[in-house]
Amino acid sequence: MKKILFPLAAAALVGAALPVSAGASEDPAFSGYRAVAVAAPVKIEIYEPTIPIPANPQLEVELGYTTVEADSGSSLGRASWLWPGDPVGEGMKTFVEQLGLPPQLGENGYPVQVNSGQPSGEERQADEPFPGMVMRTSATATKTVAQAGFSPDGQVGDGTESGDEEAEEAPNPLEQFGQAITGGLTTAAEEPDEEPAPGGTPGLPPELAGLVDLEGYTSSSQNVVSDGRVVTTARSALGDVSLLGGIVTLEGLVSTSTSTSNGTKGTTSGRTVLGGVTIAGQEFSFGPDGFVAAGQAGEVPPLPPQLTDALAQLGVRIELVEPVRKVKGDQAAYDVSGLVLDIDTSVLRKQLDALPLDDIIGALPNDPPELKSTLQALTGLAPRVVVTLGVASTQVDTVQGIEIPTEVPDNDPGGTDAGGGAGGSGGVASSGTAPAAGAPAAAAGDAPAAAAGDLPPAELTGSGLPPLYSIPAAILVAGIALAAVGGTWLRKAGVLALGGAGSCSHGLDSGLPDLRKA
Amino acid sequence: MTGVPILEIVDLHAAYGRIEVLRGVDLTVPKGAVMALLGPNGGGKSTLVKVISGQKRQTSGDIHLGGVHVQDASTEELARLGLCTVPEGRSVFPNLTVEENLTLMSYAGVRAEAVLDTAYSYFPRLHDRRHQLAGTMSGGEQQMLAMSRALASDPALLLLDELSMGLAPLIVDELYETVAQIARSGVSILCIEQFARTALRVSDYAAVMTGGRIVATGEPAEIMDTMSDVILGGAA
Repeated sequence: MKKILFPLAAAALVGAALPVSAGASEDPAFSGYRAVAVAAPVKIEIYEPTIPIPANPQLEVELGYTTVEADSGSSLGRASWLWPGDPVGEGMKTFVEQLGLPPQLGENGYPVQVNSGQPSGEERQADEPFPGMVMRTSATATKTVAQAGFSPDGQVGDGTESGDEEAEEAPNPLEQFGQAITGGLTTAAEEPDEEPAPGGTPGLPPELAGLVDLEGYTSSSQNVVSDGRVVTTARSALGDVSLLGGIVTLEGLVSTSTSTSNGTKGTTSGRTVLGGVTIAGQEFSFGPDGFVAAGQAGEVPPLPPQLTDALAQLGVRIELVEPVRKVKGDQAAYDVSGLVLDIDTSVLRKQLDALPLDDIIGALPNDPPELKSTLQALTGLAPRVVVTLGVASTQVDTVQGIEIPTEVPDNDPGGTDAGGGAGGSGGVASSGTAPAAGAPAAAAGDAPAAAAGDLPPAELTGSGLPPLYSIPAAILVAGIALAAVGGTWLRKAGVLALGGAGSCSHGLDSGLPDLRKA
Repeated sequence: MTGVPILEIVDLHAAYGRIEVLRGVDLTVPKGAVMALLGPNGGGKSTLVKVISGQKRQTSGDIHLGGVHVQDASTEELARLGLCTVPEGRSVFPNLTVEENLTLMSYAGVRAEAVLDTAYSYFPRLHDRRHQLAGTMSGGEQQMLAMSRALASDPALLLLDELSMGLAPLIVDELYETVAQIARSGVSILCIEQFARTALRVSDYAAVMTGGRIVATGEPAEIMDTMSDVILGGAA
């Protein structure tokens, strides 16, 4: 017997312990979450209200655009080395239709993008048409990644510099050694992501080099859920940047943003590193504590006034933007951008008023008729162009589950009374037996008094009025019904007496029709 | 335009403070028809929906529902009579699951099972997501949930305000397929929309509203031919 009982008891003990321990380690402090990460090394916005696109800004171009949107039920990743903004990128089919272009152009949406989705959609998608040109994304239940940019070895940093140690694969020393002796690059962490790609700014026409000239860019966005934490990270990296034909130059710029939540507390981290203002090995950066130089935090330093004044006359404004950090309970959001160049062309446009442009256009022939109106519209344009470098934005939020009560409250007082009555009866029975157990001599006087004092309510009603059952409720319902009937008749009588005064000027009756029977 | 009007609006005026937004709107929706109300931003379309559904009072003018002059009716009364609105921005309960959102509609008198059956038959995707929190779904799926809730009250006249707002074109197409399916069941629909071509594809009639007035009504092809500059000027 012992031989059977002992293994059974041991198995039961292990069986009872295993699920408890497993559940305790995996249960997060939240039932659902939502995380968004967006990264774009260069973002160009054009504000021109005469452009007939119902969006603000009216036109938008993002180089090396990556985004990840994940929640507890699904996740989406997108990477594009040239993204025309959501209105055009998402609505390409509509734009093609509205412009009267061949519908085949917009059937599959905007062409320069890769998308991954979970549970629906492709888990992994990549488009690398030329060596070094990277667009790839993948989505699983716990990790969603999007990467875009230009890198000679096809490696794009994933941005997990502090948020996700588990996602980083341990480097293989042998592989590193092999790559080192063969001249190959080592790990993505060692490789500077802002490695310049040959041939100027990829994705932009050469005419725009006067405005923005870049030596390569990469970006990555990712979201990881593990050990009861949601970690969302965005990273933008730029090589050498030349703005306004060299007025402003930066020797590299890296923006990182990380937002984390464990269901009870949200945290953020990240900063912008401007490589070009490194002095004696000390880097200048912008983080949650403001401007950091030589390890000391402080206010953001202003630009030289001579430079800002000269640029203001041209309608150009350069701004070093402080990061925006929002943490509230389990929510966290962190927006980082490195440098903003704001060009208001209306300032230079005023100089054109001195020219007799209207007379020149008026002297043009009327055929074709669209030529004049198009040229007149073009001379009136004065767009505002905003170039933002190193955009990295993350946000994460979690929600707690709804606890549905399992115990149904007893709302039937009649049932409780009946129970009480039954108990009372029991009491009576016991009290009735007490005198029998007590002294027989005193029972003659005391026992009837004790029984009368403990008489339960059920017995009182039994000895008084008959039970009313549902008679009051029936009277109430009947009263309401009579009042309703009476009210209806009174209303009809009132309408008849007023001779249709309730109808409108179009001769229709006033009231509330039942549309389902109309 | 033929047919018995389920909704007739005559010389309707409405204002926000001293700014008059509706300046004499005349519009007729025949029973069982899909009417697309198009026009650029700021034309007064959403204000018109608010006045029809009782969320805002008109300053003058008449609203006739099913041939009866309706005056000062509250939103709840109109909803009970079969006029249901799917508002701009969807307005689902984000912290409740899809099933809980739908079950809440059973308080209107329809059994919860019937509500769920109706919703899942129109939108099978909601069945897959029934245990997911509504706030974590995509915009298109939230719009499906909002439409399902409206259908649960067995509407006779459905007002859809900016169904496609913020949604991908493929999702918009899918939603409008369902709108056409609902219309085939006999429900009259007034559909406020900026995506002109998509809305016109499923509508029986169309009207163009700009500057607080209806400037054109007719069949979709006529409207597209004659009013494309107004429609496309307001919405690409």
